Amino acid sequence: MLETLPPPPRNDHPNNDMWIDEQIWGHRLWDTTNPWLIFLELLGVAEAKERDRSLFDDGGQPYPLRFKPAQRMYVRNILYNNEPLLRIADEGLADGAAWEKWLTAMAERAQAVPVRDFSYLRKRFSSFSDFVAMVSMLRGTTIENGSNKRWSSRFVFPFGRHALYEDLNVKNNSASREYINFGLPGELVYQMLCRSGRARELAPEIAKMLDGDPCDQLLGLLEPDYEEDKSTRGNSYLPYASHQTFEDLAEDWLALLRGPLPRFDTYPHLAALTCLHLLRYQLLVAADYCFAGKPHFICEVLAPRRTPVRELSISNFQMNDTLPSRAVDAYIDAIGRSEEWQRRQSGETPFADCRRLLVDTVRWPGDDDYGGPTDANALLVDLKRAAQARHRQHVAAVHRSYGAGCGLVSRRGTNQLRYAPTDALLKSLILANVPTRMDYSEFLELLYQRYGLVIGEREAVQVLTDDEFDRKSFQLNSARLERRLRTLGMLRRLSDACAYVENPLSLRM
Amino acid sequence: MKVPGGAECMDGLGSRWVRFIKQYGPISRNDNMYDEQIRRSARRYEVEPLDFVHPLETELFASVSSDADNARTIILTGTAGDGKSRLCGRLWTELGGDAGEWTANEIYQEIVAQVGGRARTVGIIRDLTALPASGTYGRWVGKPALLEAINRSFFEPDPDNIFVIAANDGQLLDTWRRAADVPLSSEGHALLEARLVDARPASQGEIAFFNLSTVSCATILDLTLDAVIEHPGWQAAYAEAEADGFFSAACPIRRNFEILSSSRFRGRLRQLFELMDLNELHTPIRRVLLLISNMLLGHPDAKDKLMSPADIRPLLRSGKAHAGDIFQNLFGANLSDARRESLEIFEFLNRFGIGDETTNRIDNVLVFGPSDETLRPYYVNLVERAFSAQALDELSALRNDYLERPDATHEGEHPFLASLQAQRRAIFFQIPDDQSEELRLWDLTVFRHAGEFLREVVTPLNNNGRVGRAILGRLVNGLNRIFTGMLVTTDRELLIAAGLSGSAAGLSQILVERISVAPRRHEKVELRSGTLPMLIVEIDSGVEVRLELNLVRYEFLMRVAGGALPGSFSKECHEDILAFKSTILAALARSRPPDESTDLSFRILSLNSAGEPVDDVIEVIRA
Repeated sequence: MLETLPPPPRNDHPNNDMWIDEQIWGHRLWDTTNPWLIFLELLGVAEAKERDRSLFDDGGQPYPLRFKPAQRMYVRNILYNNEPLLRIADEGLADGAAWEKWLTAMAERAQAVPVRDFSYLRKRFSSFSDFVAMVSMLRGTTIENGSNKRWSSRFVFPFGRHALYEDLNVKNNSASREYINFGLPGELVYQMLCRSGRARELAPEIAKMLDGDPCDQLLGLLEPDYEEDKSTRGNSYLPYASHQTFEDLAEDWLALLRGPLPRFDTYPHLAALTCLHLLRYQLLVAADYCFAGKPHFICEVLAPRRTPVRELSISNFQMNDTLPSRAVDAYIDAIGRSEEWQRRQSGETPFADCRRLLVDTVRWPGDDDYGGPTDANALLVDLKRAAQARHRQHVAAVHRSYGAGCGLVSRRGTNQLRYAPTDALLKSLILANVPTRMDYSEFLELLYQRYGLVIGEREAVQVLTDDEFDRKSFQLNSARLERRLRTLGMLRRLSDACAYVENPLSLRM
Repeated sequence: MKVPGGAECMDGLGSRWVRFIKQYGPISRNDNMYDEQIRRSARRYEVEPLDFVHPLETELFASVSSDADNARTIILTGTAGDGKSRLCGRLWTELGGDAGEWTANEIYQEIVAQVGGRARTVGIIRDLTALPASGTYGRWVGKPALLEAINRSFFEPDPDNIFVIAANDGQLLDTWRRAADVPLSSEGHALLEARLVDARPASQGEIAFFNLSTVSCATILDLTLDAVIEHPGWQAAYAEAEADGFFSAACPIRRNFEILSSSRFRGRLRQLFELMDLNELHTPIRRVLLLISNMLLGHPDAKDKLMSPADIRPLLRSGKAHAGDIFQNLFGANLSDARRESLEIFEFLNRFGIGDETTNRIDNVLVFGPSDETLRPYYVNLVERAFSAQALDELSALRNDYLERPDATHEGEHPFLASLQAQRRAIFFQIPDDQSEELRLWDLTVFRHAGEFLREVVTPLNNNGRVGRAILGRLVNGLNRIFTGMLVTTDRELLIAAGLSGSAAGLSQILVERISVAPRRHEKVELRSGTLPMLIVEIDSGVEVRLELNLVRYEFLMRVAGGALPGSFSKECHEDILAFKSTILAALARSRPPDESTDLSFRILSLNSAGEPVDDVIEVIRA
């Protein structure tokens, strides 16, 4: 069983009416997010910690992770709460008049800034139209974020520290922390990297992501010179001091950041692989609680029709999908088997004592949460029901949400979810793992060893029973992957006997 | 042997020859897969085996001649079916070995010969993979000892022992990778990998490296077609022709043979093979022979999907003979879908999309040709001459039915529409060169610019000529549209533009540099010859970035220049060209480092109403 860190003091999270998912996976793995948002949330933490000169250095204190994220309300008003800008630009006023009109409009409109005065911008741009051109250019890099239209939850491309800020909800001219977009998984990722053996090597690479880009400088100049009020955040909790997935995640980050890709080109790959490792983290931890084997992912390389590999992938997905909920049951079963529980059950007031134990460990039941018989075992049964109900709301959906987000899980070509990696994910995997070139079969083995991805026959035979294993269909599966990589320019076949996976950036041309 | 009926003819040379050819075809028991088996089945059928001089033979023999500059170990590699075993055997006799001894099928054989000025021992391994780990090979006991001796021959300056090693490329590298315990193996592996994968000499060690996969498949087609067509078996077949049977005037094998021998068909087929070379698709000899066999003998209803002489009479009698049509067989249409998909040569040929691509003009000829006065001459030339009388009868019945009831009661589409694919395939080979412009021949393929590529780019470059400015201008225009993500019209300078947020950004608004196409200072853009034509961008004196122009990239750039969206043709190409831009950007950054001024300025690219790019410099003041 994994060894966990002590739970945080109860008062740190007064609104959590139960503490089970949190103790198994942390506070918190959150489903309604996407790889880019997790990536931005993480960079925001890194920026704040770097500013404090403590990037990836927790000083031996894994909890709490305290940091003061930037808010950058001036830039955000200019980029996203600035409907008058283009309208005024279109009016064709003289430069001075255009500035005046816009500054007046913003003095009315701007929210959550100490002073609604943007006149510092006039000194920095030669003309209003230059200013408009620059703002439009920056707006063009906004990270697409589904349906979210609220201006205070829109994010510009992470050019550097001046492009990083936390998710906020602005009401009545004041901003409060919003958890819709930054639901804490990014903070978990920060802690994973920080606790990995590669943290010291990563720190300088990540620091390089924060400064130097001209657009970052431009964003800096869109803000006035002032010291912004920042609030301290420190809500997240990662229950493990170390874990294999932390190491895998850190290695992928290092490989990409030290590789031949231009810095910004690594970002989509970092985001996707981070999401993949979070998914692995959830399942690996769950498997540990359930005493199940290390989970694997049977990947269908998209076939035009139903194949045995697709069937296996669908059932493999469904199996893995139940792992987290089985882990919750296993966690509760372990409480029931514990010496302490047994001791209290054989005491004089078993129900009250057991109830007390539950309240102390899992913060349940609250005063009105339980109305069943005064029987300790009935209490456990009801805890399972309540815990599963709560689990289903968000944490249970992480597997499919992150799986779809990173491009591992899809319904393409069928109506059932299964593992079918997208071209983009395959590219990320190659860029992070193949420095120049690698024998194709070695590559398949690496995908299995490092990520648990099963594509070819040699890997399939290791995870399937004789009944399930069908050599021919896995050979075809692997041949389809080969063909796809070839059309993506990432594989070269020299002959029937010899194929290389190639990093398209280190060779070619 | 006399048997009643024409059966004795079935044992004539012509018939035996055709049955021998069938052994090369896509049958499950492919007897002519291996050199040894070919010789055996040639003896069985009592025919002369196919014979031609391999294009690398002269060079190979020169490397073991007594007046060679030095003695080096020889590697003969390539994919399965490239002809390694055969060349190995030829080398054995060239060195003075006895042909009878060679056929004994020993995997390792030794001979002492005069190589590079003195007598040396030459050890020949005809198939590296089949070499057992334990065994005695000349003086060497066990495979590791032999490999060590080979390794030494790589690195000794004037070795007494040299070797000739035939191996598939993958197995070659695999053997050395696995032999980590054998001294010098990692050096040997580096040497072989450098030659095989990067096609360059290694930093140390010397070998004579023959990669048979680098021989152009157009050359292979020429050699094999000559050998097949000139074989005496055909003359015998004409002599043995049976009325209403094998090699009669209506016999589909004879028909296919005559079309295959015609210069028009051969010329067009060769163009397809040249284009396969230009698409970096290699086809070994064995698969070309498989294709030839299938072209001549393919028939969807025959046993093994290949006709035998004895099949002809019943096929003619049942009115199904015309289904054995060379234009369809060429694309593997006689085979089951699964079989066809499993054979690479058909996959390569089907990538041209011949039969599925079309123009209105061609389809009008096919549908209205017989009845329309202006179209009729085309119909006669393109369709009537391509098909047998029986096939034409069937087509005309289908066409009439279609014209009367285009969407009759049939399930799915009308069968006439399905027949259009077959007709277009035939037309593709029927259009004479002098009509290829008028009838837009290459629009019948996916690669609409393939003809232009061969004519205007490949041929001039191969003849030390230059590529016209109009072509270069269109290529530059295609590049510019991809580099900027905007529909620019610029074709006289290359616009090197960058996106704000990395290469993935669709739009690249920041102009980094304009590079003149016509020579100006040290800048220029030009096309040069190479294995593939190369587009060279010269940035500064001695600073060049190059893009190999294969057929797909050429087609892609031309289509983008013609208005197509980059993402719609080929994702791979789009990424390739963006990677090419990244290489140029990196070269520019090295060659012209940005000045470290404190100014923050952006050179923003936008389009004026004529589609010409204008750039505004916007400065931001640190105040």
